[in-house]
Amino acid sequence: MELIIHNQVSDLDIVHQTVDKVAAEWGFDDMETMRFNLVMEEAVSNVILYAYPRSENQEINILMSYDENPGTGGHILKIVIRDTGMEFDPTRQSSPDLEQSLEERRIGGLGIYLIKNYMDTVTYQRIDGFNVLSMTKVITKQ
Amino acid sequence: MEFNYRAEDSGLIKATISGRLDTTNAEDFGKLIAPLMDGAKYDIEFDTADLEYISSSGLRMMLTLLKSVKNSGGSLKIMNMRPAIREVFDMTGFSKLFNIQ
Repeated sequence: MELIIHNQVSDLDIVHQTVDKVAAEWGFDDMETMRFNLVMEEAVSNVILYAYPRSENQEINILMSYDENPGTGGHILKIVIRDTGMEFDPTRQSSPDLEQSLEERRIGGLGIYLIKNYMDTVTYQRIDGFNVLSMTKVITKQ
Repeated sequence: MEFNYRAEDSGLIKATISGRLDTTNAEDFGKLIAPLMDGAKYDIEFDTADLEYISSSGLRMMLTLLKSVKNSGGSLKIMNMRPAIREVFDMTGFSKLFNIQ
């Protein structure tokens, strides 16, 4: 499944609608669908908000697949997000300190933290002028 | 996302939210809660039974509200949180910061 959106916040609605649709096709339950939506929103909103500080109407390419995982059983959810914005590796953002008190608690880094928690692998590459963020998760149905 | 609140005779603020709280509407939510962050003391009961989804943008707004309410000597109690929302609060350590009933 390939989806192309532009770098505007309102396009996140298209992302959510598409995720809901493919998650239903793939038989995800409500919790898996919520996690899938969350990972997509956090990753894509990062690109929308920060990758193109001065230009509009830039494309963001999103690939989603859910295939059998013959090695270990179950299925593997794979998401690849590509953009031509500023080089930025979100995986190198520091994680929030979850033990901090309310007064100390900073509000940055939550998005990438959620992505890393929900996905098994999160890798960033800069390839031929593209930011490429690839994420996978093995999902085993009970 | 829809957010409403009203003051009871006792002064307690009863707030409700429904739908999705995400990057597309976190700013709108910020404007809706602004009156509750005007420096006065508010005791708020926030019913989230109909909140279906929250992302980090929504979490940031919730944290802003909590900090403001606490700094003004008030309180914020979250009621009827759905498991999907609870999971995100747990994962980010927010469950320890908020009073969740």
